[in-house]
Parts: sequence; C-alpha cells; structure tokens
Amino acid sequence: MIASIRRRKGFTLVELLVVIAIIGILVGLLLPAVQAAREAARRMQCSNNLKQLALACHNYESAFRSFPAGGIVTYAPAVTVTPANHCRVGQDRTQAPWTVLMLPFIEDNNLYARFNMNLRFTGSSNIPGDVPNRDLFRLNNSKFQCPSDPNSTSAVNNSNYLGVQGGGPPTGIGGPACSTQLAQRVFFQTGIFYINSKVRMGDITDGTSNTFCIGESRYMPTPNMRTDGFHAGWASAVKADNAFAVPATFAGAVLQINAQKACGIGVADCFNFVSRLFGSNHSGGCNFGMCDGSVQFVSQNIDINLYRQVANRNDGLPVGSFLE
Amino acid sequence: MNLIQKSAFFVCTALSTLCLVGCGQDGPVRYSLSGTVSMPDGKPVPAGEVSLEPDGTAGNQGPATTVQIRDGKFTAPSDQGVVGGKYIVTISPFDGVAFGESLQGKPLTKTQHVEKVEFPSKNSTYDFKINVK
Repeated sequence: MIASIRRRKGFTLVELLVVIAIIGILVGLLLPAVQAAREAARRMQCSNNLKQLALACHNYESAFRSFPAGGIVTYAPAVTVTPANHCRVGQDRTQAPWTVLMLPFIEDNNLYARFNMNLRFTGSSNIPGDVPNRDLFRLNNSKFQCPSDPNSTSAVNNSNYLGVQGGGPPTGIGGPACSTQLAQRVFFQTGIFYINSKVRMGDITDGTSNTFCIGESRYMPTPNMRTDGFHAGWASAVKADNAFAVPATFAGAVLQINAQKACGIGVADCFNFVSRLFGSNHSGGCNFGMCDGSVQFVSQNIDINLYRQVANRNDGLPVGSFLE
Repeated sequence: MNLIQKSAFFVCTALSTLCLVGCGQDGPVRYSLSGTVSMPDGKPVPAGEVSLEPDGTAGNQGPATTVQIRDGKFTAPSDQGVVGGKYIVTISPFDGVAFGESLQGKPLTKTQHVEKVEFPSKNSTYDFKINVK
C-alpha cells in the first residue's frame, strides 16, 4: 500500500526547475560563442573586401604606373595652387575619386562606363554634381561595405574603406598641408591617396609592407546621421572649394583608431571626423590594407606616433613590428 | 548533499564562471581625466574638442584620446583616458551653433590651442584656458 503511493509517476517541480536551469546555463554559455563566430565571419569578409581593393590598387599600378589619384580636382587656370591652399581653391570642378577610378579593376567595368569622367562629381548630397554622376552617387556598392557596420545596408551608399592620405599631429610640424574648420577636416599629402596624387611604387620609400594603403572607417556621414540628411558616399568627389572642404573617400591618421565612439544627431558631426580617423565595429581595432596587398588588423591601443608613421609613405622613420 | 543542494551548488559555480569569462581587458592602464575649458575672457567654451596625445619627442608612448567639449566641460572615462606622463594637448573651440555644413558651428579662434601638460598616473582633473585668438 505505502510502496504504491511512493512509486514515482512523474518529475517533481524542483526536478523540472533544475533541468530548465541547467539547460538555460548551457544555452547561455553557447550563445556568446555563436555570436562571436558570426562576428569573426563578418570580420573575415571585411578583410577580404579590403584585400580585393588593395590588389586592385596593384593592378591599377601595373596598368598606369601609379596608384590612382585620391580625387581629381581641376583648378581654374588663374589660381596659383600651393600645398597650403590646394584644398580650398578647387572651385572649377571636382571629379572622380579613387573609388571610381578603380572600378575596372574590381570587375565593375559596366558601372565605370556609366560615369562621365569629364563632368563634375557629387562631393556631398547638398552639392550635387552633374547628371549622370549625381545619380550614380546615390547607388550602393557592396564592395565598399563592411558587413559589421549597421549603417552599411543595401539602401545606403555608405563606404567603409577609405584611402590613406598620410598622418600626423593636427597642427604644427608634420601636420596637414591644408585644412578647414580648425583642422577638423584635413588634407595631407604624405600618404598614398590625396588630391591629384600619382604615387608610384618607388615613392613608397618606407617599404610597401610598412605603409597603410586603405583603411577601414565607420565615420562616413550617412543620411540618418544629421538632421539635414547631408551625406557622402563611396563615389563622393573631394570637396575642395570653400571653408567646409573635406575629403570623403580618403582619410588621415590624426586621431587614435576608434577615438570617436559614434556619430549621429546630437552626438557628433561626422563631416568633422571622417577625414581624421579610422575605425570599425569589430572589437579592439580595425583592418588596414597595406601597400604590399596584405591586410593587417591594427589594435586601437597602438602608440599614436607609431601609428601616424605607418600612414606616411616616406618619413624615413622605422616602424619595427608595429603589430605588437 | 541532497539533490537540491547539489543543483544549487552546480548553478552557482556555473554562474560565477560565466561572470568571470570575458572580463579581461588588453592595452595599457589608462586613467580618467576631466576638467573645464574656458576662453581667455573666462567664459566656458560651448563646444569643440580636446585631443590629448602622448608627447613622442619627450619619450612618452601610448594611445591618444579625443573628447568633446560640452558647455565648457570635458570628461575622458578611464577606458579611453590618459596613460600619464608628458602630453601634447590640442583644443579646438567652437561656438556650438550649427552653421552651414558644420553642426559644431563656427571656430572661436583662428588656430588651435596647443599646450604641453604632464598628467599624473592616476585619475585626475585639469582646467584649460585658451591662449590663442
């Protein structure tokens, strides 16, 4: 009689709760690992994008004997252009950036053929260039987008890969050759991509494996970053015409990697950041394509002076093993 | 131990392990820095930026720090603070009223304010006074 009462017919509440708790803990252990694996895959795809662009630079160099110009600016004949004013006097016309010049080398020949190289290109959305270039400016190009960046969707013409124009302190010796907005928007001429640049392999005297070519960025202004919706894109020309001049498709190593946490309405104006720093949504640093075609992940804790040296092609300073 | 004690022990061990995993942080030790920025006439700087970089010419090394100025105040939390030692500080003051394509507004000076400062190796405060026009 008593034995039949004690016979178990199911699980008690406590046993069930314990089992559920254990399953919960196991899932909790597993989820971060799954998320980390997904991020690792995105990071790998991102570094592959960068590798393709770095190799395209080499193919361009093979064809034309120099790296593509960071951005083409045609100055008015009457203007005397000097390193100190070259970023502010390009009123006449600003044309193709390196991202468009490289299109035939990343198998985008058809897209390249639709641009008109003789007309004006769009710098930012508030100063549209000529048709057809201003319509093509609005297109998205996933070859310039990192999958880890939430701003890089197929509906946005955002770019995550910016050419490296050099680097140095914001002001003084080694500072930018020309700048606007109290050196918040800078134009160096010591890297690989700058206005009307024609850098040959032989000009990279620091060594191609010791010099940044293309860097990863998450600071290009997108339509939702400002209340007025002004934005730039992967096919943005250099803006080189007034007090707000800024290069959108190349940047310099002035600030630490990831120095600015976010850009957006009420946070910070990315037009004042995009030309000065690199960064990514990967944790701990960002990818750089080197001039030898390799891709390196650079820590955001790198010594600032060393980091700026690697961005310059011919400063003659040793960088040693900059990847700790 | 009965079943409940055993399970409670297991749950506690697993939870504490979970909490410990992933708490490590790499890079140099950094200290928080906060303070104020004022114009030559003593008025607070409405907006702008303070950029702090280790002075390489004086042998100091480390990552640089960039923080925004809001109503005359700036704060660099310890995870993006200074490593201590000799620093070069560059300050760009703006009026904070959106103008044209710049949401930071117009620059308040013609050049950036540059100052050499030695920070202690602990959390600290520092008040800057702009000395350029």
